[in-house]
Amino acid sequence: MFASSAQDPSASERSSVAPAATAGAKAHVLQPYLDCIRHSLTAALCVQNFASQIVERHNKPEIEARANEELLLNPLVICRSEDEACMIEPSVNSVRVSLRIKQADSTEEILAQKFVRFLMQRADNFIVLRRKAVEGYDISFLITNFHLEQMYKHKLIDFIVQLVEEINKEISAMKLNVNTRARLIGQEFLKEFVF
Amino acid sequence: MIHLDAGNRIVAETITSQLSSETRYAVDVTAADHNDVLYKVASDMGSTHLVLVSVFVPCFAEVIEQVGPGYLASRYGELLRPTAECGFSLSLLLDLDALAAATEARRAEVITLASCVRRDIEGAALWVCFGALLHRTPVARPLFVAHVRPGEPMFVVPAADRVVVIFALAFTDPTELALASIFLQELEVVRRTERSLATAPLVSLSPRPPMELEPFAQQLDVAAGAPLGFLSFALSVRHLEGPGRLEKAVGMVGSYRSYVLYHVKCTKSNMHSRMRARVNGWLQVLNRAVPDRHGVERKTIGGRTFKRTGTGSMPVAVGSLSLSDAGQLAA
Repeated sequence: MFASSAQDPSASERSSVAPAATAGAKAHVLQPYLDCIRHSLTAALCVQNFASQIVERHNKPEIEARANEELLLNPLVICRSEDEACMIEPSVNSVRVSLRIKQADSTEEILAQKFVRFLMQRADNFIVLRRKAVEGYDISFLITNFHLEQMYKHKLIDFIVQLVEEINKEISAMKLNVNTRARLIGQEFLKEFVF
Repeated sequence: MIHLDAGNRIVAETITSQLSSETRYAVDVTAADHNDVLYKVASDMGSTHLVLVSVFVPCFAEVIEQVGPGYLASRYGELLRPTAECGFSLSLLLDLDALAAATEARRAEVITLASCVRRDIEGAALWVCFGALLHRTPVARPLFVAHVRPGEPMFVVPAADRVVVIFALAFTDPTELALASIFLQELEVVRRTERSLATAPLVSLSPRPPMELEPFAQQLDVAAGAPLGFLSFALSVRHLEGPGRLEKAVGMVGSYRSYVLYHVKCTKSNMHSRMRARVNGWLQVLNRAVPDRHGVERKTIGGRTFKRTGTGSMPVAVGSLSLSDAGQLAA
């Protein structure tokens, strides 16, 4: 259901995509992945207010409550590679988006962990951020119908896509920064013994 | 600041201010240093011109047993008290009146001695071995060990033409461990690849205890290895010859671990400020998704209130400006 709508986005959705796409060599490589996420999210973020069928006067995100099988839709995983993926789990009144961030070596692993932790500690400010990532992923968002009533859908998608795009860039920039610093520190230390 | 000071700044400044001030007041200053070293500078109860500098160094007994008590006497001379203050490793007694009358060079020397006790005790083996290498005299022992921190010993192995200093390194924090391992690898790489550093001491990093420690493997408990590996520096006469070089070499090599740790902490704080800036940027992007509320009265800085009309997220020029304050209107 979502795969078909993802492949055929309407013209109005396409026009909303344009301003967020940024230039640069890296962006080109990533672009198909980002576009796919954007279109799939546009299709998946189609939710309505839906009260719990089990508990009277309760209104819970069904994707978290998982009380009724019929309210959950098929989850969708968009993979760029084995260690870089995005899972979208839609339900009738909420959508859960989980990201797996590429971690090539132990340094990137540490940096990614620190970064994700840093983000999740600020989950109060990022209204849609989940405090804990889904098993197997590094960071998760929970978007409910109430969020979509308050926010523009296309801009919310812009936010997620921009985060996917920049988090890798930032981690590799930080890694480069650490390596440069390490090199400089080593050089300065040894320089003291050269006359 | 790239390099760390050899001495303790607080101790040096306390003594300097005592020397230069006109009226002497009693001081009692306690300062901590790297590797759990503790300094205490206190005036004598009766006469304020006497200042007692006491230092606690965790590996003191071990080091002195290896280099011999003569080391302390030759280094500190008449400053050294025969018995240390209770709870400390050694005490130095400074007579401020005598120092004020002494030459400028002597004053600087005494202040350096008192503030660099950590370097000189932890690096006692370095002083002994480097000195022997420089003057081409034999060293009494084949191996010196100083447990500068628990579980992280420093080994000094003197040889005929060089002195090999080996650190078994470990950091408790996993992030710091990862960062420090990058630092150590880069040190080794930069030594190998940089042409201008061709005459610098040889550096090698290995996960197993290096060759130099093999003859002592029985008596040492290094088989378990160190999480970060063993880092060794091989210094030759070339690195020690020249005025002030010996002292500098002892300071630099002896404080290598603190140097790395200091820069690891700096890297962490740098990373944090980067992350904060980036996260703030994302927050702005998310906040843009929340539309401006319409029909709500807003205020300008001048106290005027207005209502915004129009649709869409684009800011619309002030639609209907309704002045709430008659006085403002008159003005």
